[in-house]
Amino acid sequence: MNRNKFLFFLLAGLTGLFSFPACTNLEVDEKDSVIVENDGAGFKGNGPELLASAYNDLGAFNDQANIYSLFEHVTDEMIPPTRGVDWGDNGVWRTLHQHTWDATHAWILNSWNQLNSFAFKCNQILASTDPAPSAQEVAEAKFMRAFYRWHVMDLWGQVPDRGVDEGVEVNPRVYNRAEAFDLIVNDLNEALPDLPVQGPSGDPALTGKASRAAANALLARLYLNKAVYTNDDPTGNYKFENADMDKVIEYCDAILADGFSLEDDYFDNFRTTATKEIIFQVPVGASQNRWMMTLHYNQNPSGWNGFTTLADFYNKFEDGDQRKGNYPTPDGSEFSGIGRGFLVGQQYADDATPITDSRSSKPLVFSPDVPLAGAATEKGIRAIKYHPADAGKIILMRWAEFMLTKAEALLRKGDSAGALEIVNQLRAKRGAAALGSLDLNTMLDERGRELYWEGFRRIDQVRFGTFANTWSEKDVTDPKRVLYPIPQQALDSNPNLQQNDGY
Amino acid sequence: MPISENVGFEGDLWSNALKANPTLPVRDADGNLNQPGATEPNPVALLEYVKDFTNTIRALGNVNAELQIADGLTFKTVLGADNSSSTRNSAWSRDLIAGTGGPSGVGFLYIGDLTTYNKLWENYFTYNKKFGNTSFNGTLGYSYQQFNRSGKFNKLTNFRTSNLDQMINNLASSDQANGKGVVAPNSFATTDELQSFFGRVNFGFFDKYLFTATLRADGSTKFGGDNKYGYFPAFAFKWRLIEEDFIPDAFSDLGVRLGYGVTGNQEIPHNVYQERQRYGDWDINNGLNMSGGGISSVAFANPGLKWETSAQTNLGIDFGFANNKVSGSLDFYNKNTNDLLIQVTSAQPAVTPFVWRNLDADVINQGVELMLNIVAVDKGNFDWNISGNVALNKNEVKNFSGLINTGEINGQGLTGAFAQRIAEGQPLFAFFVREFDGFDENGITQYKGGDVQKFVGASPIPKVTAGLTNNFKFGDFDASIFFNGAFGHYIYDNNENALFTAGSLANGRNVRSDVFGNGEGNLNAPDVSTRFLHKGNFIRLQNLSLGYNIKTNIKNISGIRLSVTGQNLFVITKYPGQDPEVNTNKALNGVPSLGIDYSAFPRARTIMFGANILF
Repeated sequence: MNRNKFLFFLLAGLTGLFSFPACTNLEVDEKDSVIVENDGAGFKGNGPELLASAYNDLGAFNDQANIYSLFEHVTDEMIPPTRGVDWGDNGVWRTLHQHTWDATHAWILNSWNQLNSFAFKCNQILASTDPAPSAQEVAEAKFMRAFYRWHVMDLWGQVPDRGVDEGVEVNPRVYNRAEAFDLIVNDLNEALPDLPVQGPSGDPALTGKASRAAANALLARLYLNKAVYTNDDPTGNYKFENADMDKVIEYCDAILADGFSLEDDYFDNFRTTATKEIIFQVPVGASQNRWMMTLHYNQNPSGWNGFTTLADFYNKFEDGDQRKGNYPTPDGSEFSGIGRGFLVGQQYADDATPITDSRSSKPLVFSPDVPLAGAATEKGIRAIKYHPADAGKIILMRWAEFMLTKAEALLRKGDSAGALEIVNQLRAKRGAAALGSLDLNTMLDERGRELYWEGFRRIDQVRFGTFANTWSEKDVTDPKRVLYPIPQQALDSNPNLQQNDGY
Repeated sequence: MPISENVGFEGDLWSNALKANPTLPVRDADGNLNQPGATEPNPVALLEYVKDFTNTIRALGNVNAELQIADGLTFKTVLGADNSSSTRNSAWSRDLIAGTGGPSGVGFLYIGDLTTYNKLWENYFTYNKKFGNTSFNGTLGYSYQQFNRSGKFNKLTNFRTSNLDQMINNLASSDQANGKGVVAPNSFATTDELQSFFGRVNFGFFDKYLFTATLRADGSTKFGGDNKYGYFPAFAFKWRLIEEDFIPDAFSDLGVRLGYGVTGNQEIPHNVYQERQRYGDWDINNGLNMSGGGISSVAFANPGLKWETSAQTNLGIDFGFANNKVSGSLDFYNKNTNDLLIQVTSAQPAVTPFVWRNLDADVINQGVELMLNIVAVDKGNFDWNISGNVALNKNEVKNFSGLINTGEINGQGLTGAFAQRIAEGQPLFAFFVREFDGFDENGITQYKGGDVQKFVGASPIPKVTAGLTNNFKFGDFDASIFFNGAFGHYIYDNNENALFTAGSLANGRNVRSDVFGNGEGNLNAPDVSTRFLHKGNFIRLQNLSLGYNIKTNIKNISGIRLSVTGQNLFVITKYPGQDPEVNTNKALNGVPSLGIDYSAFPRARTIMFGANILF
C-alpha cells in the first residue's frame, strides 16, 4: 500500500467515525420548536397554552404608542406636542392629531398587524387538537377573538380572516363591516353560556380573563355603535334603532346583575386595591407607560414629557368633581409629589419643593395652552389616572362606562329623564353637581369626563358626529377619516382588501 | 462595551461620548461619577459600570486525501470541521443611571453561551486528458455541509452588589428571594444542511477555443418539499484571439470571453417554511415585572419558499500591448436577481407579522469594469508599475408592485423613523426622505412639497468605484501606494439627525459647531430629511508602504528588509460625518439597509513598522 492509499483509507475510516450521513434527505430536524403544520389530522396546537398567550397579547394595550395612540391622539382630549427634539418621531404623532395620516403611518400598520395576528391566534386555539381547548376555553377564545376583531372592524371597517391551515400563499378573505359585526356578535352569543360568571374582584388574574360580564359589556358596546358599524355611509347619518338600544340596556343590566358597582373614590379604580368596577383588564405587564408618556422629566418618576390634554377639554370639568383631580400632598414618600387627575400649574417634588425645569431653568408650571409643534417643555396639562405610587393594571372595561352606556341608550330612545337619573347617580358619586337636563352634547361631555384617556374618545366622537370638527391645532377635516386607511403594506400583501374611501 | 446599532434617546457609549455636555464634570469633588440623569448618561460611567465581554474558543481544521485511480483520473475527499464556543457576560451595575427602565437601582446581568459546529465533507473525481489538439478536464462531485447552532442565555436582575465581577461570577448575588422569578432564560438549537451534486467540463481546442460548462444541484434544508433543490448551470467561452494569425503583432495578448451563469442564495434563517411554535423569551424590566414567555408561532407555513437566483451575463475582452507593458481587461455585465429572499409584511391575520418571501421583482445590476496595468518605467534600478480599475454600476428594482421600508433611523424623537424604501424603478435601498428647504423665521424646518417622505434621487450604491495602485522600485528601495474611492452615492448621517441639532444643544448637549447659528430653532423637530443626507464621494489613501532591502554578509542571514506601512492615512471627502465608508446595520423588520451612519466605531489609522530577517 502506497502512502496515498494509506491516507485515503485512513480518511475513509475517519469519515465513518464522524458518521457523516451520505446523501441526506434534507429533512429538517427541529430541536427547539414544535412543527404544528396541518397534516390532515388537525392543527397540532396546544389550545390552553395558546389561550394563555392570547391573554398575554393584551399587553399591547399597555403601550402608549400603536393601538392606544389610534384611540386617543386623534381626539379632542389628547394632544402629542412636538417639543424640540422630543416627540417629532417622524411625524407619527402630529399627523394623528391633525387627521393627516396616510396609509403608510407606522402606528396604523403596527396596530393592524397586532390586532389581526391576535385574532388569528384565537383561530388557532379553536382549531387546536394537542390538546383541544375545553368548552370554557373555547368560549374564552371566542370572546378574545370578538374583542380583537371588534377593534379591527371599528378602526378599519374591514376584517380579514385566515384559516389555521392556510399558509403564505392564501390571500385572507375579507369581511365587510356589517358582516364582521354579525360574526363578532355571533362569537359572543356562542361564548356566553360557557363563560365563567366573574363579579368584581381585586385580582387581575380573574378580571384579566373573559367572563360573562365582559362578553355582555362587549355586546353592549357593539349594539350602542351598531348604527355606525352597519350604516352604508360610515361617515354619518347614523340611525340608532330602538331595538338595538333595548339590547344595550339588556346587556348593561346583565353586567350589573353580576355585582358591579362604583368605587367610592374615582381614582381607586386605577390602584392595585380596586375592587368594584373592573370588568376586564390587561392581565400582564404594568401601566407605567401611561404616566411616563405624560410626566415631565424633572418630576419623580422622570417621565418622557409627552402627551397632554387640551385646554378646552380641561375646561369641561367643574371644581369639586373628583375626576378633575386633586393636588398631591408631598410628604417625602416616593412619588408623593405627583397628583391624580389633571396636573396643572406649579409642580412639586416628593419633598414639597417646587420643581425647576432643568432645561429652561424656569419653575415647572404646566400651562393649559399647548401648541402641536415647537412646544416648550412645560406646555400642556398632564393627566394621571394610573399613579406611579400604586398603579393597577390597565383597565379595558369598567362599570361606570356601562352606566353611561345604558343612559345613552335611554337618551337615544327618547327617555331623557331615565338617562339623566343614571348620569346624576354617577355624578353624585364623583362629587359633581347634578345636571338639570341631558342632551347628546352633555352626554358626550359626561363620557369624556368619566372615561378620559382610557381609549374611548375616538369611538364616542364618531358616534356623536363630532370627529371631523375643529379643535385646538386641528381644522375641520374630511369626515372619511372616521375609518383609518388599510395600511399600504397590507394592501400590497392581500388583493382582497380594498382601500377605504378617502385615501 | 455598550455600543448599539439602533440605540434610542438614551444613547450608547459612543453617542454619549459625542453628545455629553463638555462643561459637566466627569466626577464630583469627592471623586464620584457625576451622573446627571437617565437620559444623559455619563460616558465614563458607562465604561466603569458596565462590563461586557465575550470569550470565544474556535477550532477549525480539515484533512484531505487524493487517490490516483487511473491515468488522469483522481479522486479527492475533504473533511472539515469548524467548532466555535463563545460566552458573553454583560453586567450593568445598579449604580449606573442610564435609560429609563435601565439597570438603575437593580442592576442587570446577561449571560449567554453560543456554540456553532459546522461540518464539511466533499468528494470529487477529476479527469484530465489530452487528445491531439483537444484538452479535456472534467469534475464530478458531491459535497455535504452541516451547520449546527445552539445557545442558552439568562437575564438576571435585582442584584445585591454593585461589583461587576461578583455579579458575573457569583450569580446568587441576584436576589431571588422575593418570589418574582427574576431569572429569565431561554435557549435554542438549530441544524441546517446543504447538499450539492456538481459537475464541470472544460474543453480546449488548439489552445484557442476554451469552453466550460458547469451544473450544480444544491439542496438546502431551508426550503420545503420540491423546493429544496436549486439547479444552477453556467457556461463560458473564451476565444484566445492572440493565437490567430490575423492579429497584428502589436498585441501581446488578446482574447474575448462570453459567459452566462446562474447562482443561488439560501441565506435566510433556519426553517421559515413550516409553521412552528415555541415558548418566547422572558423579559424583566427595572420594576422586576416579568413579561413574555408565551407560546407563539415563530414561522408561517410557507411551502413555496425557494432559492433566490441570480443570472449573470458577461462579455469581456482581455488585451495586452507591447509585450504586456500595457495590459488589461474590459468587462460588461448584466446581473438579474429574481426571487430575492426578503422579509415582507404578512397578509394579516397571520402567524407572524413578517414572512420570508421570494420577492416578485427583478433586481438588475448593469455595469462596466475596466482594469489596466501599465509598466511605466522598467529600467533595471528603477521600475514603476501602475494598475488601476474603474467600475460603473447601475442598480434598479423592476417589475415590483409592492413597497418595503427599511433603514431605521434612531434617536430621541425619531421613534418609527426610516429613510429607505424598496420600490419599482428605484435603486435598491433608495433614500426616501423629506426634502429639506431651510428653516422659517421661528427656526422650524420647511419641506419642499410638504411634510412627506419621497424619493429624492439619492442612492446609497456608488455609481463609480475606482482603485489605483502605484508600485515603485528604486535600487534597494521599494514603495507602493494604493488609493481607492467611490463616487455618486449618498450617506444618511443618523448621528447628525439624532445628536447635532439646535434642540439637542438647547437640552444642554454637545453638538457639532455648525449647528450654532444655522437658523434652527430650539423647538424644531429634526425629522428625517435631506438635511442629514450627504454625498458620500471619497478618495482614500488606503495603503502606503515603503521598504528597504539590506544586503548582508552576515553568516546565516541572507537578507534584511525594513518596512513601514500606513493604512487609512487620509481621506478626501466632503462627507461631514466620521468616515464615508460606513454601513451601520439599520435593518427594519429584518430588511437590510445600506449607507446609513450611526454610532459606528471609526476606522482606525494604522502605521506598522516591520523588519524581516531571512535566514
